[in-house]
Amino acid sequence: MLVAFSALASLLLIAVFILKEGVPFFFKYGLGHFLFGLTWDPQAGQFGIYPMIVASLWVTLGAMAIGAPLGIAGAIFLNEFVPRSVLRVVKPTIELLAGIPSVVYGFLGVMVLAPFIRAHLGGPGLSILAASVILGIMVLPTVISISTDAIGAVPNSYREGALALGATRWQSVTLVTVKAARSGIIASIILAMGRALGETMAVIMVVGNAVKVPHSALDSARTLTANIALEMGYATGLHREALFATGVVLFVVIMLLNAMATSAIKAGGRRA
Amino acid sequence: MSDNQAKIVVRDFSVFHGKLQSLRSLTMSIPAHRILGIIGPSGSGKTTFLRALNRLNDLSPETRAEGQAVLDGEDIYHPDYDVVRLRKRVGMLFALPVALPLSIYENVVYGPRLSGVRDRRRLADLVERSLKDAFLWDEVKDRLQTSGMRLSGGQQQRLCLARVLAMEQLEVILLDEPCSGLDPISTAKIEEALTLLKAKYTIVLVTNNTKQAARVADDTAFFLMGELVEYGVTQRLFTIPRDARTSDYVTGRFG
Amino acid sequence: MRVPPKYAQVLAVALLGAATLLTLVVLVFIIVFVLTKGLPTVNAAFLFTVPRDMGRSGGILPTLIGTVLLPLLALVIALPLGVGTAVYLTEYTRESRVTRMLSFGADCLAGIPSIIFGLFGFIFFVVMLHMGWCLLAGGLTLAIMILPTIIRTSEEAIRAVPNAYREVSFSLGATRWETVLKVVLPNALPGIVTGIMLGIARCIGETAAVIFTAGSSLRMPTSVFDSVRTMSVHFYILAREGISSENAYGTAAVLVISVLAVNLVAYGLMHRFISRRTR
Repeated sequence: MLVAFSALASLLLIAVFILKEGVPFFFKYGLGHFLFGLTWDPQAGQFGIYPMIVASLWVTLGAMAIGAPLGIAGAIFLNEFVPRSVLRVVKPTIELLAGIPSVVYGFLGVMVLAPFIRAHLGGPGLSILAASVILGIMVLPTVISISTDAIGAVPNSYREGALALGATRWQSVTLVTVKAARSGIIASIILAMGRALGETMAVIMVVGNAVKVPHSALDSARTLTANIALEMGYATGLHREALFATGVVLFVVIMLLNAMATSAIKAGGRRA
Repeated sequence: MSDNQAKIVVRDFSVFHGKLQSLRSLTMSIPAHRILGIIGPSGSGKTTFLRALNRLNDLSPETRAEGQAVLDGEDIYHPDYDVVRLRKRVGMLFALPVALPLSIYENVVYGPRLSGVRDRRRLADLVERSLKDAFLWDEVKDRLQTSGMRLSGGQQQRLCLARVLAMEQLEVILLDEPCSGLDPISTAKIEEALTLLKAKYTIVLVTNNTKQAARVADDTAFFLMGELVEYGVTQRLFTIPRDARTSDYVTGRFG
Repeated sequence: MRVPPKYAQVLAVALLGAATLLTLVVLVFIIVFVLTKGLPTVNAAFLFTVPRDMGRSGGILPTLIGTVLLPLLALVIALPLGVGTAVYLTEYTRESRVTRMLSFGADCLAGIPSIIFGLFGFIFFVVMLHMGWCLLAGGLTLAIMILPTIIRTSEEAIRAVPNAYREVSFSLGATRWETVLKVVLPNALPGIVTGIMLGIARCIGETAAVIFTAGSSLRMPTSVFDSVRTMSVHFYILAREGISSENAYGTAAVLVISVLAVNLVAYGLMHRFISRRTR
């Protein structure tokens, strides 16, 4: 049954090839130089990705600032304060929306959100803020879906216990339900972070792609993923290696996030 | 009950579930063309014994068997013994009727198809004969293509019996409390079928219902806590039991 | 100041409800917006003629074909691998270090962002195996991408098949393989098909992994070694390079409808599957 190893083999193959193409660059160029260099200018042989790292962080955290509270609020509301029948309709609808191609989200960011930001908040419009909002919306289905499952898995007896002691519904939610479902909620946020950090096409369309360290949320910036996708089409030689090295950084961070999410889910499973 | 006409002989046969021993060095022989009833309270090892004779225990990794179980002179636990051939010769009927989610017809021909029977005429004959032998034919002959799961519980159990009977190499039928969930009419039909089938097969019937054993079994064995307490011709065992525990059980004082 | 619990509850519920409503409104708005802007452009001519002038005018026929062929090819590759893995994990092994490692591999693969798949497909299939940008390279890359989805859904569906069916099959003299073929897989089929549909939907919507492996040629493909452009990629290029916002909206509308349709079918099947199991 060799086919059973297809997924694991693919994973290893991907890891090996991304590393093989990217890691040598770390030694040629210097890891510190690469990670903390302020200038990205392939023609001049300058490959510092510090601005992209900062931009990716901003965009990802911004997306979480929008997506996590909305998503968790939605999950709590749907589980605790509306009839089951509503949940049964709304949850699949939201999950259905997870299927909307990312380029469509990006396009809406360009056509609707960016002009709005430019007109009302200033700046170029295509910005970290625009990317954060779009990504925040994009990760909503992930956060809601996984959090809803986690909250739904909390035994009813816990809630009844709290209510029997005279707690209001809201107190039982804050005191009992959210605590019991904590690991699932955390996992949903970590997975959503991975998605936001890894998203490419939607971000390219709305983030502006200027290669400089951003100073405000209204600045145009370029994320790690955008950097790869924008230049991969024509890069050669050292330039291509630098892009793969960018991929290595991304790969490692996302694998770490996934491992964290998995262990959070496992920890929850053990306690339950 | 002399050994020369024995179909199945077990010697020092034990079955373990993990550390728990559920069958304690059992020795007995099961004669051909008779119905053996096995009675005893739950947890006495009846079902374990039955499943061991079909080697269904193989499916649970925790379970292992020791000692000998011999069918027609061959040890069925010998490493070279073909378990697939064994199961084609030794059919099993479970406590809960399980119609596969297939048509009635496809349920019955499941075994023959596995043995490579392709001829439509022969399959159709097998279906008719098996369903007749299981006293189900008249109820389903006009709807053989409908799903087996649409039948009532009693009908499903007879369908399961027909499915076992359709196996052409069949020699032994093992039944694990086949009537525990059935209505009296279906129970009567299955019992009637069994008394006719013993002419062709060797039958081992595990039952929780001592009256059923008294009604249909030629011989009866009484199991208690993984041991064989008493074994003999049914009428003798029920009227003059030799062991006090047997006497207590058949008169309904425990279990 | 402490807010009395009763008012805190009212306030909290109002806030949570508003957040939920906002979420739904935003998500529904996206679909409605794309469809109202795009559907007026969509007609038979748009769907079934070739694009002219880089897509500035004309239809989307080759991208429609690319969008059908690429997921299909990915599926042909991923389905046997994925279902095979699921069968192995559920029917042929017990929980062990090896199965945990295989599951872990599938989970990790599921978390990899599509741009990394694109990079890998590019360097491995396109460059190293000399395939060039083509249908085959794209199909192989997408196959790896949807493999975890197919494994997970198939595994769940197979585990949901009642054990009694397997016992009956074995007791009638079936081998393990015969039992898998005749009893397990047919009963797990709706769940497996759900996984297939979700995988297809993901392929249709994918851009980053496709553009670097299947390329973006607007010509009609004649073999698996031709480059194709899917609707997603076409839409991305139209929108990003500002070629034609009218045609971009039209393409987006077709794209969204196809993805939603495939997802709906998947949910319908899943629902039927669950209700059949509990009946």
